Amino acid sequence: MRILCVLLPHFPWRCELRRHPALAGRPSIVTYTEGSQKLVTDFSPDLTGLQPDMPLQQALALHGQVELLLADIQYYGAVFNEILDALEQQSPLVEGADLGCIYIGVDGLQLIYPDDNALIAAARKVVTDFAPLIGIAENKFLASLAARYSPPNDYKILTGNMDAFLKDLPCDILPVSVKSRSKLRDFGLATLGQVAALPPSPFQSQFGPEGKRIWELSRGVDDTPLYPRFMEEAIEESAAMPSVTVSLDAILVALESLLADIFAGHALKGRGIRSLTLWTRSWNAEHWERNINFKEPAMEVRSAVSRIKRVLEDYPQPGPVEQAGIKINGLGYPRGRQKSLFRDIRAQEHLAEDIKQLELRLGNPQVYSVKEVEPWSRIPERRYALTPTNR
Amino acid sequence: MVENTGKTLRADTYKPVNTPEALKIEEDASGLPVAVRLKRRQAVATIEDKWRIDDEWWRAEPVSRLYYNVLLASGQRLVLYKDLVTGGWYQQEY
Repeated sequence: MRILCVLLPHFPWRCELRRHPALAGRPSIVTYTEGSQKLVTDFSPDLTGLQPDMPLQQALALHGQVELLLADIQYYGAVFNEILDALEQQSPLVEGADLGCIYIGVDGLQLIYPDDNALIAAARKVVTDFAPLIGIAENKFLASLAARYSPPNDYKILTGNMDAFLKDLPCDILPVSVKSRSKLRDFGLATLGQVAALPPSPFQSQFGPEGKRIWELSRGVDDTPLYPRFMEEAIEESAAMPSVTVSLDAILVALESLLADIFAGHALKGRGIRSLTLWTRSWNAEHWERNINFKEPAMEVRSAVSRIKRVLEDYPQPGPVEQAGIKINGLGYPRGRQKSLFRDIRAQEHLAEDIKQLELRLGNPQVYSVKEVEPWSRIPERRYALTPTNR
Repeated sequence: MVENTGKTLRADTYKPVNTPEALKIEEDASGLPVAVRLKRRQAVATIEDKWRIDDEWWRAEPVSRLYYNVLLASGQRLVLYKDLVTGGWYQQEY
């Protein structure tokens, strides 16, 4: 399958630039907070020596005079989704692999776009503000390499024998775990050519399942399928608070009115809310987000609000809130509780459904039944076993 | 004969039932239990029954146990066994 890869380097920073055009030409770093530590999300392309996820202090030691911006992941996600939506107008097979990395299946598009130039021009038009790098190849790994090594404002197509292209590339470009990359360095394997020259079995014995993948990738083989976006209906509402507030009651009132709007509108079409994402943005631009799943679809504001209230109480806000929103990403019909002549069967169905919900929420089997395994055994612990009830 | 349910038992989801619990036992010179240390020490009043099972002798870890059905001084009844391979004492419903 031919795959087109669009890389959008410095995507978070370019999103900020799109929102604040005055940032152009000013060195800036986008940061996020993890625990008590501030880390680098992204930075303006003119800053050298920086890497995503490095501590901010280290970054500031290298570049003292920079502007600091707090990461707004919600906004970056929304912009990325807009881009994916637009690209889906060109091909139905669009995968947003990571923020700023997109794979597009292009097989069969020659009926719409006469040649690669036309196809790439159409894709470039969507992401023109984001300085895209574009490449085409036979699989995702090669397509990403083609994009990464494509000249600016142009594209690269990789076909035929890849050995010459791959042999001098550093092993650090392999999409494998950091641990494996550092292990490769420890073994003195710096380039893909060195890896490809070795037989596969030592890699499997040293790296486990990832060893095979490392060896295959070094030869340009990648059988990872394209995962097109799962189309899901989502309803999103947000509101700016009348004044910046720390009061949970005020936040709850705002969320309640958003929910009331959603239930009053026609978007639900008689369905209830199965899962939703709550998010807030505090005055210092910190983002807070929590997912809530409902065992039974919430059919009215009141039943949803009680859960929302508990989540707000359990997970404190990072600061005074200036904007709050709800994204409904799971809709469902209420389960019929029809009475039946076959009451036992219905009871079993309800029980199975409840167990399924429990496992979805908590993971792992939660309810077990006692099953006879070797009831004749003279060894007591061999006679019975617990097995998951719904399997 | 157990009816085949057609379901697969997977090792990661399978949980044994009635596994033996290690217990501290005081033995007399002949190896019979005289007291059990549960939350506190309790003397064995009577040994009501005794039986031995030897199984899976073809495996690397054979099963060889000497079971005792004992009545404690407190009136509580327990099934104990001595693992004749390791020498440990265990409590288990039989």
